[in-house]
Formats: sequence, structure tokens, C-alpha cells
Amino acid sequence: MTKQQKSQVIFLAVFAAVLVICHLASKGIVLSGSNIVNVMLHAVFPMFAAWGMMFIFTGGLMDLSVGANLLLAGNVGALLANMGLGYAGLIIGAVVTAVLATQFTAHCAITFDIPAWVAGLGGALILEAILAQWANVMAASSNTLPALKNYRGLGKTPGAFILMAVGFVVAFLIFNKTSLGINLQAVGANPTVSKTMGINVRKTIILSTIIGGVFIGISGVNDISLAGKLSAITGLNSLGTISKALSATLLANSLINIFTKPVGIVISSVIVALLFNVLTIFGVPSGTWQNVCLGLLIILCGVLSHLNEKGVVK
Amino acid sequence: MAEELLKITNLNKSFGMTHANNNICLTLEKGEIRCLAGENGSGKSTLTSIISGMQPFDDGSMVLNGKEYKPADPLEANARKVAMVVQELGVITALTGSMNIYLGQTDQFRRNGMVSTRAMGKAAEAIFDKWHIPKVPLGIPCAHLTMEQRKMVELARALDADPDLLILDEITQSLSHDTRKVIYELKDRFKQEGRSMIIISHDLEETVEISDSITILRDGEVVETVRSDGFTVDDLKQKMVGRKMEGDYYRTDTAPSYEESVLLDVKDLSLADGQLKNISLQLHKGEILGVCGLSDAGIHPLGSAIWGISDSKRSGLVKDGVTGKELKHPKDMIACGGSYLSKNRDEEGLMMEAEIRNNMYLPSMQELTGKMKFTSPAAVDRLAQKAYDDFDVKATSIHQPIGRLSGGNKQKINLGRWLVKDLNYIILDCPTRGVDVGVKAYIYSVLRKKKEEGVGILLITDELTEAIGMADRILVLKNGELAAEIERGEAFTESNIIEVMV
Amino acid sequence: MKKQIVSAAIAAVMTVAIAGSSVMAADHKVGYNYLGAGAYSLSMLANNEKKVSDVLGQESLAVDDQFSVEQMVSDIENMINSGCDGVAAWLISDALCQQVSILCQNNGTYFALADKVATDEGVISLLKGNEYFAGACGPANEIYGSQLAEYALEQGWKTCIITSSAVGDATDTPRLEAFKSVFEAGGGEIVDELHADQQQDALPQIQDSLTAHGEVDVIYGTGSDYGVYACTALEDYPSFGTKVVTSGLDEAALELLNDENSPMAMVTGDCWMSGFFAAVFLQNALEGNTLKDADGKPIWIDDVQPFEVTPEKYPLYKKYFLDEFAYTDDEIKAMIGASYDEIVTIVHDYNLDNRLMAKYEAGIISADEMKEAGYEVG
Repeated sequence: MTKQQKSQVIFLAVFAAVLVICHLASKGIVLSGSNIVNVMLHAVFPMFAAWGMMFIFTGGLMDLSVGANLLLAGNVGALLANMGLGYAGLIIGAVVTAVLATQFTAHCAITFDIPAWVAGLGGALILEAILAQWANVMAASSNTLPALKNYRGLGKTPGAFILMAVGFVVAFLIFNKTSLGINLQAVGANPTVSKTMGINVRKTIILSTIIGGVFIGISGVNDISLAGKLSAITGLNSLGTISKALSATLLANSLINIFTKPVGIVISSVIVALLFNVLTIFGVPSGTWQNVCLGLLIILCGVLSHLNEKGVVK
Repeated sequence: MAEELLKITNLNKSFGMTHANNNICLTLEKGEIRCLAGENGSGKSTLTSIISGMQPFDDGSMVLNGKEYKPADPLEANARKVAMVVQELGVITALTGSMNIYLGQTDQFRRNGMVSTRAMGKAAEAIFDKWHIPKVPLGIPCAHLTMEQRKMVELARALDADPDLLILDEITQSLSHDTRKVIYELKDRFKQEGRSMIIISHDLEETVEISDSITILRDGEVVETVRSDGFTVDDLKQKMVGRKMEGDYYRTDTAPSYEESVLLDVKDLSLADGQLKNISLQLHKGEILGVCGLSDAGIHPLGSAIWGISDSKRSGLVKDGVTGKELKHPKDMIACGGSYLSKNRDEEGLMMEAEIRNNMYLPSMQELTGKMKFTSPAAVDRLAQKAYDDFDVKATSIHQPIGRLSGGNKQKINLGRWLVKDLNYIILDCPTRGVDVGVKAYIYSVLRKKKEEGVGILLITDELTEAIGMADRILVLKNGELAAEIERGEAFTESNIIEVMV
Repeated sequence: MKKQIVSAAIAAVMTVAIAGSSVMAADHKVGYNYLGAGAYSLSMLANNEKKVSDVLGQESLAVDDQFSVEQMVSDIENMINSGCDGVAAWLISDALCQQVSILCQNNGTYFALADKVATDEGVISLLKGNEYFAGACGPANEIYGSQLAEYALEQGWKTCIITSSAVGDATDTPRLEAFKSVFEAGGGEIVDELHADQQQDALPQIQDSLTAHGEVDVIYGTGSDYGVYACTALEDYPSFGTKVVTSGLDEAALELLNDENSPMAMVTGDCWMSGFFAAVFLQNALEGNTLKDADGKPIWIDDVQPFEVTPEKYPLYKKYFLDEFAYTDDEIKAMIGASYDEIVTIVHDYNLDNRLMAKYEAGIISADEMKEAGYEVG
């Protein structure tokens, strides 16, 4: 058994032990079937958004328009679904919107050679404004953004779980087992070395952001399927939409010495959903102390996973 | 007559107004080990990067194995059996060793669209077996490997091309004495198999010793190609700089010369991770105290541990010899007139994005800060300009970002910014790493001057000749412990030191 | 070159956008700020404020605060600098009211407080002493909460989960506190109080809470978005008989009310009319008719009452409040130049029943429509 495998076993054992303790303390609620289903359903959205961010961020593009992107994508998907295109319209509408939005920021950053976060924030403001304008136009005629009444199977059992399983397999294989994934990791770490090694840096980034866009689009589909509607927000507040996904990403980065990123994101998303679930069950106030607990958990995981890391001998 | 492998004719390469390679003509035979020598900026790295396909040339021609050779990228060069290990390129730390070896070529392990990491790992292992290079863990991210292990990964990557021509650009500089031997053995094997190597090394002794021939470049032009037999280091130095080196390169005296008073007193210094065990030393006024050892001997951690920036917990006592104060942090050392130069200049020494000026004044910030905690920009400019002029930095002005300077100029700034201060002692970790003979000579002359002024110098070095050439005493470390202390004199020989080291 | 071309194109688009946003000159230019674009309630509030200027043929300027409290004062300053004669200000705290009061006084610009009103006596007195203060109008947020709590108690519901926005929200907090105090005083128990920083977070929070506490009698959403999320959350608990009550007349909430399979039991609100009334106060001031009480103090109404929209009345509400407007253009025009007492009466008489009846009497609504909605007419 390698050192990494040992760490994985220890981590999962500790995780299981904590769950059992919580289960006992909650008088049998935490690990009850309905609650597990509940938690897993809530983990799907941050999971997809985090996988999307993984494909976009790893190449060095800190695109912060992801939140605005998935809100717009979910609404476009719902509009098409409500127009009679059903699930096909929902998925294609959301995915195409999200891919186009990621390509907008990616091309801005690459073509004009501006920092990706600048392009991302600009993109976020534009996407937020498009959705807000859409909402305003609707409100002027006393309507609202499209609510998804039918076709919500991808936010419920078993659709959401099938979606999650497929998403995991695709994310894992592309990231770890394809030339694109390996090249993407190389480009993110050192574009100069990658270029020297014959990797087409631009093509790698563009392809990865397209894949990231697909995952963002699916996260929008899942979110609107779960919630029924997604509201417009402006002033970069769309960043808050991905707060749980960002937390899961941070947590997955903290666990990088134990799990590869796609696996880490699954575990982290479940942990984040579980954390809020358990804290609610134990009556910890939401909006304040629950966020404090999440912050502490991220710091704790970061500290623990780097506890025995030695500096490079130079 | 031996068969010709590579023939370069009238090759030119310019970067804007700078003519990096000017009418280069060079012929390399099969089985020949060729070293390239020249000062920083003489055009060696440009030439080798062109041969390895990392950049195109402007005009001229190259012929490899009798056919026109104009590689568009390193992969095309690999296909023509030319590979290169570059000094500063490095590996992708997030990826495993085997992924790094096959970076950009992972498609060959693709089965049903997926890359087989198992097959890739096996193929990578086979390279290490085939070429007898020290094995490194290939299945873990390179972040967990040592610098030497990473170099081996880079070497394996180059060897995977089964090269007829292998180019090594200053890689021995970052290797320990024992790992260098592996490179030398590889060189012998290449020779036996009729393959060729082009090696760039700033270690002139090494250059003369390992090569069959040496091509000397100056200002982008080939000065001369000479056979190494009968060619001396002094001849080489003279041809490289185009003038006779003035003054002595190393010290010429044979006895130690320093005062009794102790400037820095280290007692039972240990690191919790075991890299250092109970090291005690005393640095005297006007003394150059050399520190040598193999790669894992702990010589580099010693510098950072004394300076108080080790990652691992430090125990023992570091005391200022004059004031008797205990020195725990860099702040304490600076207050007592101490200074430290890390071996890893670009990552730990300099702020690469900042101007020369801002790099220059950083160690003197305390002195330049007034009573009201304001710093006068004019005073900062004056100090930076003085150091810039004193150390003959070659740049457009003190406002040029430091990242764009050559290694030699960076090191002049790195050292110079400390030496403009009134120092008591300096801890230098490989101060001449990656600099050419001209800058090296300059640094040695500065160190000798400082020694005469009474400054104590702790000279940590991977180059034995440097330690022997400059030190009053040499401490030899082995497995983190002090193995021997040898004083300048008759016992001051390379063989005596190596005997202790191994 | 590519960068220069793009920069020039962006500059051109911005210039066209700015030029295009300028409206024809009119007698008065009125500015109003709103917290952020996109949310239904905020859009309705902004539309209602604009309605007055539109009817009077005045120029108006809307400024989006981008959900940033810090931006509010500077947005108002920008409106004043851009030539607004009056400002309907949406301000989240007493301190901001004080700042804006001084700002408007220094610039000689009339202003009214819309939807959010100051609560500190000192600030209220400062505002009322400002010659450029046109008045304030805000909803009776406490009534929003207490009314629904009383309804819940009448139904015999004893356990409740409250779902709300972030802790400390100026609108939701008084609703929540009032609901809590009335519900608990009536023997009810609040088993959980949920606060979502992001609206979407409300859904998992409610589901987690339902898992933790099991079936409750009622969920109270302090805003209609939260009420709607509560209904969505309950879809995964089909065996629960939990009902939902909510403040805010969001269309989505009203549609759920009309869906007999939905747990939505009651929806109340005032259709965000405080903004409209504040704009009326402001226009009056701009016309030299600052509305003042018997003591000479500017008009101050902080209790615009919420009303219930039942499933029967929903079609009329939709048609005559949303598709049209609660007041006709003539009624709005008549409000300019009206006396203090008249305006106070108009505001206090404002509710669904009165407005529908007025429209019926004006011949806008037919007797059949009224009867269908349960009104006993002619």
C-alpha cells in the first residue's frame, strides 16, 4: 500500500467515524436514508460547478464569471425547455450558453493577453447584466424569469445521481487519463515548459474551457432543476452563487496530497453539503456560525493535508 | 577521418538589435564530446536552443547526418534524434515523473482515447534501466522529488529520444559531486556508441577535463574550436574573455590568514528533520570558511538554518561573536551586520518582477528609513545607483526589471546589495552558481577585498576548487554532521576532501 | 493593433449607450436608485417609482446600486450632479438617510424616502427639518409578519420554520421578528430560523431543517422567493402536510397559491407601492406643493398595509395591478397638487379591495369579473 493509499484509508476512516458520531448524536438522523439522499442531492450542484472550475482554472484562467454564467445558462435552458423543447432544450440551451460564455472570457484573456481574472470579472458583469436586463424586461410586463415546472428530473432522485455518476466518470477520465487533461495540468503549472515540450498551449486552454463550460452548463441545469428558478443578481454578487463550489474547490486543493482533484471535488462537495446539513440538524444558526464552521474546516483540511510535507531539497 | 554528425554553417540569430549568434560555423563528429565555453551572453544557450528546436534561426544552415536540419520544435528535433536538457526549464511539479518524461507525447500511450498511465510508467522505468541513471519515484508528483531527482527526470526525457546528439546546458552545476559522476559515465557511453554530446558548463576545470574539444564563443561569434588535450583552464579563461585575466583568480597564498576574534559562533546546531546534527563552528574576523559536502550532506540547510529561515525546527545556539547576542531570526542577524545569499537566487533571493532599484535597497531598508518611518526616494536612488555602478551591472538603468538580466548580472546585484552595507559577516550559498568566468573572477576579487576589510565569510559551495581556492578553512559535512575540518595548507587538496565526503 | 481596434470599439459602444440613455427634456428630472437589478421585488419597486414620471411626462433617471450599500450615497450624488431636480432615495440605514439629507440640502435638491424609512428619532427630526425633504413612505413590515402569524395561529398551526434572507436584512428582520413574537405569544413554536446569504441556498437549508425537525405545520417565507423555495423543498417530502405562508406578491408565489396541489396557503403584500407613493410626494414638492401635516412637517407614512391576494382575486390582481396599474393615469395626475389630508387618505385607503372597487365604479372592471372574484356588486 502506497503512502497516498494509506492516507486515503485514514481519511475515509476518520470521515466515517465522524459521521457515525454525528449520527448517534443526532439520534439517528444524519445517516438515515432520506438524509443521505438529501445531502447527496445538495452536493451535485457544487460538484459540477467545481469540476467546471477545475477545467477552467487549472489552465491558469481564473475566470470568476462562473456564477453569472451558470445563472444565465440555467435560465436559457429553462426558457427552451418551457418552449416545448423539453430536456433537450434544457440541456442544450444551458450547455451552449455556458460554453459560449466561457469562450468569451477565455478568448478575451488569451487574445488580448489580459489577466484572466480581469476578463472574468468583466465577463461576470456582462453576463449578470444580460440576465438582469432580461429580468427587468419581464418585470416590466409583470413577469419573471422562466421557472422550470416540468423537466426537473435532473435535480431529483434518481436523475441527479445518474448525472453525478456520469459527470464524475467524464471529469476523472478527461482530467487524469487523457492527453488533454495531462497537457492542461502542465500548461497551468508552467506554460513555457509546456510549449517547449510541444504542447499547443492555446488549443489546450480553449479545449479545457469548452469542457469546463459544459460542466458549468450542467451545473446550471441541476441548480434550476433543484430550485425551480434562478434569480438574477448584479454587482458581482453572482460570485456568491458559487460560494459552495469554491469552498469545495478549496477543500479539494487542500486534499490534493490524498486525492486527485476530480475525486477530491466529489468528497469536498459532499463534505460541504454534509457540513451545512449536520449543523442545521444540530441547530447551529445559518448565515453566521455555519459559515464560520466551513471556514474553519477548510483551514483545518489545508493544515492536516500539508502536515508532513517537506520542502524540496534544492 | 570520423564521420560528421552535425554541420552548422553561417548561422545567424538576432533578438531585435542584439545579434545573439553571428555567422556561427561548427562541425561535430560522431562520438565527439564538445563543450561550449564563453561568458554570459556569448551566445551559447541561443545556439543550443536553436539546435534543439526551441527557437528558429534567421539564416544559415544546419545539416544533421547528411540531411538538412531545421527543427520547428523540440519534438521535431527529437524525431531527428537530437535532445536537450536545459538548465532553467525544470519539470511540471504537479505531474508525475513519467508524465513529465512523456509530456506532449502522451498520445502514444492512448488506448480507446485514454492514456494508460501504467504503460507510460513502464516505458519511463525502461529509460532509467537502459541508460543506468539513478532511479527516482516516477509515480508521484514531481513536487515531492529533490532538485537532483527532477534533473534525472529531465535527463530521462531527453534520453527517451534515443539521441545521437544530447545537449546538456549547465546541468552539472545543479548536481552534487556523486551525481555528476553519472553524467560523466553517460558521456563515456555516448562516446563508445558513437553518439555525441554538446555540454555547456561554467565549471572550467570540468569543461577541459570531460570534453574532446571546446568551442569558444564571444559576443555571439565562434572565437575558436580547440582540442582539449593539452589545453589548460588558464588558456580557456583567456580565450573566453578575450584578454588576459588581470590579477589572480583564486587566492595564491597557502596559509590561513584571519584574526582571532570570533564574529559568528554556532553551537550544536541541529534541525528537527535530521538534515543537520550538532554542527558547531566559529567564523573569525577576516576569515573565509568553506563548507563542502555531497548532495545530502546538509551544506545548504546549514546556511538557511544559521540565518534562521529553515522550514524545520532549529535547535542549538547561534550567537553574534561581538555582542554575544543570540541570533534567532534574520532581523537579529541583519542588526548585527550579517547577510545571507541563498543558492536559489531567482526564487529565494531576488524579486524578479521588481526593478533593480527596489531589489538593491531591500537589505538597507532599515538604514534608509528616517525617524518618522519615511524613506527618501532620492536616498534609495543614490544607494541603488552606487551599488549598480560599484558592481558594474550591465543594464539600461536601475529601473530595469531584474528578471530580464543575465544570470551574472542578477548575481552581481544579489551580492552587491549586501556588500554596500557595513557588514561583519556574510553567509554565501554557491555565490558563483550559473555565472561566467568573468563574473566569477569579479566575485572572488570582491570576496578577497571584504576579507581584507575584516568581514567573515561562510562560503558554502558545491565546487571543491572554489572552496580550496578561496577558503582559510574548510568544514566537510557528511550526513548532516561535521565530518572534518581542514585548514589551508598542504592538506588542502581535492582528494583529501573527497575522501572525507564519501 | 488588435487591442487598439477593440478598445476603440468598446469606447464607441459605451458612447452610443450613454448617448442613447439620455431622454427628452422635460419640466423636472427625477432620479431614483434601486438596490440591484434582476430581483422581481426590486424591479417592481423601481417600475412603480418610474410610473409617476412616465404619467406626468417627466424625465427620469434610474441608478442601480449593484447591491452595494457603499454605492448608495455616491449614486445619489451622481444623480444630483447629472441634473436631477428631485431624488426618490432607497436607503438601507438611518446613517445613510442622514448623509443624503445633508447632501440634498447642500445641493438644493428635493428628495423623498421610498420603501425604506428612517427609524431613529433624531434622524427623523433632522429629515423633517430639511426644507428639501418631500416626505417618506414605507410598508408596515411588522404587520407583514404579525398578520401571517395570526393567520397561522387561526389555522391551529403550532410549529414553524422561518426562511429568510441574510441576517440583519432591513426589510426581512422586522417581518421575521414580528411573526416570531406573535406566533410564540400565541403558543406556537419556531423550530428553526434559517438565513440564506444567497437565495438558492434557502432550498437546501429548508430541506436540511425538515430532515432535522420532521414535519412542521407551517413554513414562513419573509419574502416571496423564500416562500417559493419552501414549496419547492416540500416537493421532496410528499407525506408532509406542511403549509407555506409568505410575504411579497411575487407572481410565482401567487401562481403556487392558485395551484391546489401546492402547500402555499397565504400570500400577502402591498405590490411594492411605497415607491410609487414616495414618487408622488416628490413630484408634489417639485411642483411647489410639499405635503405637510398640521405642524408643518413633511408627510411621513411608514405603515402601508399589506393585503391578501386570494386565488379568487388573483385574476383581477394580475389584470388590474400588474398588467395595468393600481391607479389610472388620471388618478395619478390628480394626486399632484392634492392636499396632505387627501394624500394620506389615498395611501391609507390603498388595498386590493378598495382599488378594485374604485376601478369597478369607474367602469374599468365589469360586474361579472367582480362577482367571479367574490365581490358582491350590483
